[in-house]
Amino acid sequence: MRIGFFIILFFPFFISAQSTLSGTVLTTKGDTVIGANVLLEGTYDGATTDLNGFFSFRSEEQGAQNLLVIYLGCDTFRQTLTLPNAALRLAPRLKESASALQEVVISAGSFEAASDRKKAVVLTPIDIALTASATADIAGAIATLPGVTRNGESGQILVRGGAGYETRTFIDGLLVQNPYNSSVPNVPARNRFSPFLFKGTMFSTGGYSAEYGQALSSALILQTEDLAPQNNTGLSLMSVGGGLSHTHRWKNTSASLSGSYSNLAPYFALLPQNIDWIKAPQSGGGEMILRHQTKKEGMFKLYGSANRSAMRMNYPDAFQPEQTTPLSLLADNVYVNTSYRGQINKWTLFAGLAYTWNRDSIGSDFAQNKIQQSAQLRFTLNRSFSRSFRLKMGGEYLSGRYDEYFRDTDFSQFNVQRKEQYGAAFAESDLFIASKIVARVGLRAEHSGLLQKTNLAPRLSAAYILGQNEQVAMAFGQFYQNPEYDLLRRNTDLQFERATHYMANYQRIRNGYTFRVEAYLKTYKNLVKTDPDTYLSNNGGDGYARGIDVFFRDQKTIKRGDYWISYSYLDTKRDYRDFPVSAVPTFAATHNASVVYKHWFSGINTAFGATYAFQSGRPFNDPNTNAFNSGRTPVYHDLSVNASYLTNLGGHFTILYVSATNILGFDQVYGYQFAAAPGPDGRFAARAITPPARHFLFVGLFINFGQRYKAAETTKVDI
Amino acid sequence: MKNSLLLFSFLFIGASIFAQNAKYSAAMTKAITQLDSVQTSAQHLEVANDFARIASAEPKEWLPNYYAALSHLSAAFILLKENPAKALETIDVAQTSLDKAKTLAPGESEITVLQAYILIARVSENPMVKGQELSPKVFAELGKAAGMNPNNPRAPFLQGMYTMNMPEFYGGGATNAKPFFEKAALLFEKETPGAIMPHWGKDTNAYFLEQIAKK
Repeated sequence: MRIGFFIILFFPFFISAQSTLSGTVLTTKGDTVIGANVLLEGTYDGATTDLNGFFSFRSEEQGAQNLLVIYLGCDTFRQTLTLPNAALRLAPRLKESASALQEVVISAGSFEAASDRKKAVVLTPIDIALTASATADIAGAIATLPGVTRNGESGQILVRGGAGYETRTFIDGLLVQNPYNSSVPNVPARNRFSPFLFKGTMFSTGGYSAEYGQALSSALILQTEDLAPQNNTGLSLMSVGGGLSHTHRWKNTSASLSGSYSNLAPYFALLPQNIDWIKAPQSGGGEMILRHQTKKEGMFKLYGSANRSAMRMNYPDAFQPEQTTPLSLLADNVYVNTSYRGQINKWTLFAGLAYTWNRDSIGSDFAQNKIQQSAQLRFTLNRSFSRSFRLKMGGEYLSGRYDEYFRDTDFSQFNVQRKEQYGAAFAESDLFIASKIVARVGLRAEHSGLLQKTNLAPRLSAAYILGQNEQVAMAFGQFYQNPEYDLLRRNTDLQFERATHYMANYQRIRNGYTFRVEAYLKTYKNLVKTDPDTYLSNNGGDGYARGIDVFFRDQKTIKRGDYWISYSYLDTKRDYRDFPVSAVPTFAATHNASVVYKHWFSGINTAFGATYAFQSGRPFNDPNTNAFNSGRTPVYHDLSVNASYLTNLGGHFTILYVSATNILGFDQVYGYQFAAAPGPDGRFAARAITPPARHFLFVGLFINFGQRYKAAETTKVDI
Repeated sequence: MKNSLLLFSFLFIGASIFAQNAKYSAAMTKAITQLDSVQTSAQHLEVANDFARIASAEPKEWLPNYYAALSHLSAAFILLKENPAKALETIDVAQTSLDKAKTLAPGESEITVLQAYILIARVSENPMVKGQELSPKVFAELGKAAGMNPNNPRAPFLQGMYTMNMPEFYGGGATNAKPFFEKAALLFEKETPGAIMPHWGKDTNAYFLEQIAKK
């Protein structure tokens, strides 16, 4: 009895049965796995695979044991073994993790980079600020990407043969009614929003998600920042005005308040302008941002802004370009965007509400007053059901109202009021069809109360994954958009305008290099045409756009240097608005190219940027010839530079920013305007549409109080 | 006789616990010695695997997870130059290991220092973009670590290193970093770590002080 007890107790000491485990670890595809951790669970025994995927180790463990093989990016391999076994040969096969679905971004159409994972963005706020030629304007920086045709006269983003209104801006998923500051034709507008409000700028040139509607050509998707990192007071002094802001950060809440004023009069007094200003543009506004993080990782956001701007000039007469008429613009805008994002069980909920009120009052030899309002409610729900299936669905409701009052010198006048009740619902799923094929299948349904029409828009995109951050992708989709309000003045018995996108893409992002090339075809149906006699609108227009976009970015070759090259080839024609025949529109250029370079000189704490832009001649309609839109402007060149000097002013982090456009003084012509009637020589007189000035110079000093980390204080941080 | 048997078996159980402890200490000492000498990212990852195995065998010890995180982090710093995408993934793995260590030893100053170090690695990946967001967090973690254990030399050491690499206009640079290195040097002198307790940083701290003195 006692002896038996002893034997049981000392058994492990008496029999020293050793096992040797060895083998080669491969992936299910047959690739060698180097550096995998092979171990017996809960023991010290194991090894790391060598350059051939080979491992070998000894163990004195007994009985049933779990062999694990752990490797980053693969599912953990498990096998139950019975030891001892003097020479156990194993051949573990690892399967690549399907959790990559979260990481895979289908590249067709969408300018997202998978390198920064979920926060996939192509342009960071700093990228935008440092892009010369953009002057810290979001639209200006987007104009250096492929697929975009530069449009200096409007400052808007025109994508793949689409007009300006076909690109819509979304902030946290909510449609922005007036993304640009109000302006008059041929005076470029800037995007209303500072790039520093957003943690990510995603730009889609087509084939985008069913989440977004009411955009025929393109979606600019802006995601706002979360909690502000710290207390900060900022003062900006610029050649065109100034601003003051204050941000306060509590534990789970941050709030900021800012105000700004700009007046271009002193600047215009110093530098010659092509526009005969009576009163240079002035604007003033305020902005507030509130962020609150709830206990359960939810995020509540509130953004509000109010802005007023005014300008007055002698404007070239539309019918007699050599004469001018006084023209004034007074614009007011109020914008509120509020949202909540949080978890409900396994679902991620987003709910948002946006409100806009915008009034443009134009005074000339006529008076025009336009008030546009909209309130939009939106929610989405999304959930990952498995590693290879994710579902997103949602709905939105928009109530809009458009009021226009017009009175001419001859006292002819009209009032237009249009009310829109728009509703939409969408569902979309991301799924792995096979281990290398990811697809996104979506459907969007929309109803417009104003048009009394409903549409159903299918969206499909898929990517074949060639390797880490390398894929070929395709996308197809139908996109509908309401006709613009000013085309609904006389009649509303219209259809949605419709575009169908097809595209194929190859993208590779690796080791600081990004290369992508994309071919596309876009067809338009039901574009609004206006009858030259009755001014009634109909859906008789159509068109197409096709082309190739190429993008290359290199953040590696040059130390502290970063550059990208974009090229777009565009072939497009359309028959719309008052076109007598199908023709190339005035905003389309066959060739567009940009080279953007940024360099950080650490010795002098200065970031330097230069952008070169090229555009082939754009069409204009010369009434002295018979063919419509057959004229071509001279080729457009621009070289812009900027520099940001980072320094310390009285202990406060300060940036001195200087930028200049068209430093080589190229003649830039956007088009020509012709007289309504021929002159005595029988020819229609022409006036070139050019930038408001040959150069635009900007100097700004941005001081951040409280953004210096005082060395002595940081050790006293609360625990 | 029964009593002596009982006593004997107690002794035996004690001995087996002692043997287990000896095995743990030996495995840790061996892996730490290796960590102190390895050079390449692959070698660091191999040592990280060793620590991960010890962590799986000793689910109640925080040190194996701490060292697994430290080894992954060291690999990540090397990978930042070779393969930034893999470096980011490796930093994530380091964070996972450190999170396990945190639940095992809440309030441990060394873990908080390492948390700051992980954040520094994230800043290093793209200083222009991440510096502004993460710098306050780095300093907050280091401040927290110093509060938990004012004698931990690695808190002022990392603060010195981060301050030195921060641009001067942001309150960084050698002059601002020097007091931290000096404070760390005093604490390093006084430090008598146990065999397997964290002890890194002393030589690097001395090196930086030497470099600053030369200027």
